[in-house]
Amino acid sequence: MHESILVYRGFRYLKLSLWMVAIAVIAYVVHQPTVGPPNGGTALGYTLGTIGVLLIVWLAWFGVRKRRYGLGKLKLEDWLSAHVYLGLGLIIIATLHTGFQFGWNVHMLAYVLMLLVIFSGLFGVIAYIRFPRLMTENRRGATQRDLLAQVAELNAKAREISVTLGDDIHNEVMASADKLALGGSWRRQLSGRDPNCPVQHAVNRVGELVLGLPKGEAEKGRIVLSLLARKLEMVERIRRDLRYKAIMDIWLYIHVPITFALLAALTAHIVSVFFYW
Amino acid sequence: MAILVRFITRKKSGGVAHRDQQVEGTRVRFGRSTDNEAYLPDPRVSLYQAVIEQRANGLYAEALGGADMTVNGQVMQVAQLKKGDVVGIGPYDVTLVDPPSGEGLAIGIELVRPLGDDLEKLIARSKLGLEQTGLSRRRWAWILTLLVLAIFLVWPVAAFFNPGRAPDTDANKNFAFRPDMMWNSGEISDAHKPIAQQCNRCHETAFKMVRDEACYVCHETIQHHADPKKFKLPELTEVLCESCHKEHNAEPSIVRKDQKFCADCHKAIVNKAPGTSLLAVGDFLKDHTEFRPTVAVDPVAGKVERISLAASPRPQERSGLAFPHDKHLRPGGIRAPSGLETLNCSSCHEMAPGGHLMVPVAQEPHCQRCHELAFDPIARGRRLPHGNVEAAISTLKDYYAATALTGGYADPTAPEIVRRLPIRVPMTASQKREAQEWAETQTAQAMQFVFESKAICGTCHAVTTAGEGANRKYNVVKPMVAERWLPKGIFRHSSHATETCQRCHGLDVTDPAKWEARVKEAAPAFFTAALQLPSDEGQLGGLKGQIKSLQQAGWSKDVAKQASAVAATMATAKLPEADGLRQVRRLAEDVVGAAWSDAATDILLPGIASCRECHIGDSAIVAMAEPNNRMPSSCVTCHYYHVPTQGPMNPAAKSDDPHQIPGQYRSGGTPLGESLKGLKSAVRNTTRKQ
Repeated sequence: MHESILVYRGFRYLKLSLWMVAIAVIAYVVHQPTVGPPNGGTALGYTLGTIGVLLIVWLAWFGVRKRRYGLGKLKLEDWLSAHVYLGLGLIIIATLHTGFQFGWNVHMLAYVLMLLVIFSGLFGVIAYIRFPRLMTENRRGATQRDLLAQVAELNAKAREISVTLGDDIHNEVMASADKLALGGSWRRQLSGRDPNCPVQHAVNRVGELVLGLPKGEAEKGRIVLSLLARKLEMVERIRRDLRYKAIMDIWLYIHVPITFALLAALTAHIVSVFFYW
Repeated sequence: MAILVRFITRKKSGGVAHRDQQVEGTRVRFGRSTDNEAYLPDPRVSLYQAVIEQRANGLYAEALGGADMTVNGQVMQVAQLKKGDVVGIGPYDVTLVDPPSGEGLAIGIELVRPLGDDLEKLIARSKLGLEQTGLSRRRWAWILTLLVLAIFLVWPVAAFFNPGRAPDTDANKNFAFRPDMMWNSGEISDAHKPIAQQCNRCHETAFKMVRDEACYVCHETIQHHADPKKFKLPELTEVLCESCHKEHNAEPSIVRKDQKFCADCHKAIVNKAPGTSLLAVGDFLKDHTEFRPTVAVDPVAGKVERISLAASPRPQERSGLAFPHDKHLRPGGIRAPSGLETLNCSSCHEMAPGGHLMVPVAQEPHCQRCHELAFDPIARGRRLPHGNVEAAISTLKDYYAATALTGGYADPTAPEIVRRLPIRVPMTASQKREAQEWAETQTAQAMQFVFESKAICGTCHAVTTAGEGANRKYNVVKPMVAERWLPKGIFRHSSHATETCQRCHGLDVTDPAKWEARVKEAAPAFFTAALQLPSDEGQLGGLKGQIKSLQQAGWSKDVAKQASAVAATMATAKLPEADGLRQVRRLAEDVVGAAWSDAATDILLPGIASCRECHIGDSAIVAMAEPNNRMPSSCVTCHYYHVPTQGPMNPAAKSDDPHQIPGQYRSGGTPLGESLKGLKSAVRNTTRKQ
């Protein structure tokens, strides 16, 4: 489904975007400003700027549109496909609008924020192509709650069996259940790792302790160890799942707030240009 | 075969309840899917987790698709079951029980680890998803939006409307930072850098374009392009300064230099401005008229005219001066007080400070050393003052009167009383009369000699006379010395210092017929003298041979050319000493000099063709058709847009504008100091490019 957004309707919106960019580039090459070098203040500069503003506002409106299901003539797929391609085309439109004049000012700020929004969006597109398949493979048909339930189940099973074993092993088993917290900070979610994983610790420790068990208890010890190993596998699978999900989500934490910052900078840009006309 | 599946539930009271279900076939599948024979509604169970099957060699339990299964606590994939074994499927324990009927197979299923606190606690401890980490898109959107608006919009606007804001002046310019600098859309031009930190010098009112008045504060006397009363063109009167002078483009200069800007109107200027005296011009290479220098035509009336260099006959300047370049630039040198001296252009023509114009030639620094204005060989060291007829006449009168009184005038034709030794002795009345008469006669003769012969004033100047005898009046026509031939153009001599003077200011006579006639006149004497040289050593023999054949060839234009070449060699080559060689060389120079300007009426200005050897217009199309690599030069390379004689654009500026262009002609009598003053203002004007 995600790739289909890109090829949607035979690349209709890619073609639309390419046409827009091509016309803008040709106009830029052909246009000789009456006075001075190419810049945002020439006839073409104002035109490109107006197109850029309209595009930005329209692209931002996607955030509103996607929450209104079944409204409007265009399907949400049209919107998303156009959102991606016109957003990429905006890089060229805005760059031509600058006339390749850059400086440390509010105008450059708007430009840089726009690039941040677009490139974070591009990251999102790539994430949405790549990660859903990896997530499906990783979960093997289960939901995240199923996986968590299995971990809880393994907790209970291991606890049950380890009751009759020595305190050393039992305590490790208990700790591997009680101290286990999946996910965590956004950094930890994105890394998919927990350097202090209590399950990993328990597997290592019980692995050692099992060797010292008397013959009668060795069998049970091995069972506990196999349950812990199984749990570790499940826990890592959940962490991978969380990592994929986090990557698919994190770009929006840049894309959305920076979009609003961009709208603010754009307002300042336009007001300032005409304030000091 | 039928299998009995019994779901066992233990009550809190300790009782056991069960629900039985008959399954047809040889296997029972366990899973969360409802089509399993044993449907296990628990999230920890996969859809199809395990199967218990009656096979030929016994009863088997098998995990499906790598799912979780234990047999008697041990994780297994496949296991043969015997009575009493406990198969763990997720939270369920499956046991083989005695069938109530005593026959067939019975399976007991019991949920031994109900979904309970373990899962809920695990979920409570975990942070599943970024939305649980405290990251908030909404919060950051608000923070960033308000921050950007506050810093980049509210702050500068508030500073602008701050009633306590100090006005932008040079005195107030030294502050560390002002918020509206963040709005600066690009570096300002070099000339405006001193006010780059003072936004409100130009941007006076919010949302209003920069007014011309803001420019006039500094550019108070900037001049119109054309007379706005005569030519009411919207292109001239309805545009703002900033329409052409666009700032903030990081360009060192904001002057419009494109040819199109000028050519759009001037290519067909009559259509734009009917009644104009301007000629149509466009591209410098293709559509520019021949230069039309301002030429003095009548020095007595002080009249000048603008005449094209292409006019036929070629225009001549009547400056009131006689000056033959050819005589002064003889290759062998001219007789100067210190001996033979070879002059070149820079002997008389010096570049003026600023590098635009040349300092006008004047008598005292340039001519006087040779033309020393001595009027009487006996009056040693006496010189007439230059530039003032009255003073010259007074000098003569004073000299002869004083001599008559003191004596000592060593001329045998003079009366005894004037020739006497200058000893104080009383004179008789008749002696006095004699001396006085002598003085008057001498003065009259000297005046006639000074003013009417070609020896003193007349060497260079035209002199007019009126009256006879004692009432005879003399007037030296004030010469008109050109300072700028082409006052509408800007020319920097210093920019052309890599070229020789001759490259543009050819001294060649412009009329080939005149040149030929002059060679023909000078050649015979040179030929005869050269052939009489007693020596044939070195180059001499060859040169004499050439001269002989030229003599025999009969006169033609070609012979004239060859004669000129031979004479040039004779005049300048290193030759063996021979009697009469010096005289021959002098005669050879006459032949060479025949090709040079011999009169001050020649206008030694280069025509446009000379400029076009290096310069073309900036039309790309014309340049493409031009094979030579030449310098694209637009109109403003040589011309002003704001013409310094059209009156100030600024309505408040004073009309007696100090930047008026100076006269192009300087009277020969102007003292040097005053001339330099005019020159300085000329230089100031030419450097004051708009």
